[in-house]
Amino acid sequence: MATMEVSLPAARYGVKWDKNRGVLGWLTTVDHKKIAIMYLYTTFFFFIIGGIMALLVRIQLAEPHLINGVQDPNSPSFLTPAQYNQIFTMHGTTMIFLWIIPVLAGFGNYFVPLMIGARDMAFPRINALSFWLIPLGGMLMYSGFLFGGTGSAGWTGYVPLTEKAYSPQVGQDLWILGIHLLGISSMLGGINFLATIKNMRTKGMTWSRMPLFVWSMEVTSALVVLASPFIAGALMMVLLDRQVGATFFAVNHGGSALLYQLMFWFYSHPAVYIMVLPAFGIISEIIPVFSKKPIFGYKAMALSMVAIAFLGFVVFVHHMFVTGLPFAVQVFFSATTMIIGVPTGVKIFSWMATLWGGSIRYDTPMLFSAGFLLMFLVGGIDGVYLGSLAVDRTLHGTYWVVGHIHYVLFGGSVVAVFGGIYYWFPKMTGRFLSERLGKIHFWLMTIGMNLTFMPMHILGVLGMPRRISSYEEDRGWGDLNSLETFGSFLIAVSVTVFLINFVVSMRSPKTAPDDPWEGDTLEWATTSPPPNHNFDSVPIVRSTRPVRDLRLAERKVVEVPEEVPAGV
Amino acid sequence: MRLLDPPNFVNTSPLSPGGSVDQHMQNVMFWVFWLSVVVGVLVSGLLLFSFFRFRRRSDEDMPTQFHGNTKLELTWTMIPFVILITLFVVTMANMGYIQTSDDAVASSGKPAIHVTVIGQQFTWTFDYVSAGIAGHQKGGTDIQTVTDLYIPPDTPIDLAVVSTDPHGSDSEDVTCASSPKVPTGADAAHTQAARDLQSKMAAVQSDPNLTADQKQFEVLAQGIKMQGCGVNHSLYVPSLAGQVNAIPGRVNNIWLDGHYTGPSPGAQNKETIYYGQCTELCGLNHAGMLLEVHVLPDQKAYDAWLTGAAS
Repeated sequence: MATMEVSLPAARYGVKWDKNRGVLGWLTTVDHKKIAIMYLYTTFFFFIIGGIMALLVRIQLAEPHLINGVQDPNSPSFLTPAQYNQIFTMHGTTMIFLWIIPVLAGFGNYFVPLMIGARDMAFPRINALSFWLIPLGGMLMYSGFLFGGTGSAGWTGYVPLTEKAYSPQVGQDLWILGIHLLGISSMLGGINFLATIKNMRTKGMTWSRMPLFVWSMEVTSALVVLASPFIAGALMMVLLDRQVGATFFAVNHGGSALLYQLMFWFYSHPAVYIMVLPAFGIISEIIPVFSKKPIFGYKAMALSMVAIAFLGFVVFVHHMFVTGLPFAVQVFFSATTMIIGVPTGVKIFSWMATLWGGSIRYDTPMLFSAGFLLMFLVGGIDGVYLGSLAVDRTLHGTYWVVGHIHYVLFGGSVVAVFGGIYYWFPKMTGRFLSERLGKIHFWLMTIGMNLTFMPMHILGVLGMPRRISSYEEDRGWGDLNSLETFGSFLIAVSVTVFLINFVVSMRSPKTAPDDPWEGDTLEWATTSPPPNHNFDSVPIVRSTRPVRDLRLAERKVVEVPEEVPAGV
Repeated sequence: MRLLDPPNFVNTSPLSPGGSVDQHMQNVMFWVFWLSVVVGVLVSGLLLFSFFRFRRRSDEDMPTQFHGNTKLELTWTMIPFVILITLFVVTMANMGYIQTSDDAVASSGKPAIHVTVIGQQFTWTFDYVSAGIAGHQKGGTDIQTVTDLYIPPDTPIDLAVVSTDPHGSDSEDVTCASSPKVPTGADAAHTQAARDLQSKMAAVQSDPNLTADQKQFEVLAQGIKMQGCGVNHSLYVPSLAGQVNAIPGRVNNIWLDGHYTGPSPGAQNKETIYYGQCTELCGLNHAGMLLEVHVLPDQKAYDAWLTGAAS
């Protein structure tokens, strides 16, 4: 065994670092696993809050309430326009900045150090700071409800609507400050991941043997560090306009209202990839394990993520095709938008080829991964419509866009997150989630999301604009909206099933072995849950699947090492 | 189900074009739609096939461990590339027509009618630059309509879309304080910006290449542009022209034409209505910022309408 493993002197630190127990232990911890667990609890709390916001939006939109642009007295609204604007703004902001981005960072926090065989993140205290900024940012944003209203200009917060003249409430300032804190949290986390992955890989863990989830966090972190300063800058300019009368976006003082959109999307398009690349990483871990096969085209998978990250910086103007930018600019960005579809296609085909000829076992994590492939495919294809200049002019700003973003972020990222939870739950807690409840959760959620988001495409081509608090009774949009509302409640039921599953499982005994799924990557080489210092000894990595190598060696299965050591 | 009853949505859907601009958009949509159906069905079919075909029969299964296949990977890199380039080419082939009314003016022989569209919280105002007489108190011409745009059939309509604020310079806030009004005559010269605008407008007035219509069009739009007030809106007429944003400080152009599909032109008070509304969140009553494009049966009906509107 001596040649198989690297022993870490870290074990003796474990006791010392973990001296605080109970609540104090959680509040003061710098252990990446405990921080990650707090990330998951916090973000899941915000997922539920954001989900309640979504249900309120869906109740309001279930039926039309307007006649000739005016409230129909015979059809009372559930929400006033002022409430509606706040609630859909907080839904979008919460789901993006308080759920998807940080929950994926939470998974990264738990599993990047484990997967590269490290003791912790490179900067454990900065890691704790990254986490604590999240509840703080969330509370700041939500405290707007106590002071006359939250931000209400959508998650994009376009000027001039967010200028003081049009959004006088202090909630809009709190919204900006909240996003600032969350941005700082992301950037600190990004730097931490880059430093960790660069410096703390265990013996034999070359770049070309890193698990794809680690690759995805590497690329995502680079995006975070490069792009986030732009939204920080844009929002700071709005804040200065609002608070000290700066005139960055005040047109009659020489400012530009369009400038904000350019800065915002220079962050927020890469941010779309910040929201999906780690999901790709999770899926790329689950599919090979449950198919008993190596990932197909490992290098193409890693490279396509790098390509997506690069191209992600040169497609952002496709969010602005109808702002009247010069035609040549539109043509350029339409072309790049088409091209970014190529690496995404490569990923889907590579996952399919990983399944091909495999031996697929449909435990819940794999079910969610299969769901991800189909749902993300829809989100990829309906996005191409918006990349075409001509079609974008008819679909921009309609429910088509809402359908597209939800297939990508819900059908893609959220489904992958649930896959990841079912996959790694035994590692994180030493317990299994119930397979039976997990399958009910999966089917309810899949049916629910398709009932909710598929009709949005039809409403888009029927000309229904997004972000309207109600709609005309004679437009014929009512039935599909009712169907969506029904679907959204199915999703809510499925999440409730998950919560029940979670509570029941946490009360059951710890029965999970170290390596319940016959995994490939290093997190399965330690106990479930891992000790404070992660590994007593770390196996030497000789391929992309070190734990499988170890398992086969133990079973005395003679097999030629399947991957030529590259780049050692 | 009401959805299946066409009259309910026929004039709010880009899928049922009411004019040549949306028709060109639908030409592209046709390609995107069928290519996406083919790709979607093929790929999801292959995925579903592999989900079922390769499910685990026994835990003793040991599938062949293959890692990649360069030829296959190159193929499935190239196929999406070719499909996407095709879509790009089809888009570009139609964008020339969609972008400006020049082609339509040349082929129909009718000069374009210019209308300035002013978006403000929460109405659309249409200023009939080509027909009205300058000197309206709000700075446009004497023919303005709110919410309803009246146009003759199959005639190119050039729209200059701008945004302003209903309170204009009366507002105390930083965004709109001391903004120059639409400069008419002497009261305009009190800021550098307004002076710049005046010299720009003088240049427009003396430009020999512009028709009187186009000069008027430009002057009004630039005037409102200078106000720099208001929020973003988006003019959206799904079955005619798609959309363009109205952004403070910018003049965005879009054009449309509409077919008359009603009873014979001689009939009284006949028109075909195409619905639209604002698609860029603009505040509390965003949902109520509606517009209707009324396509009149013929030029004669339009002229009659103009006479009525001017008096």
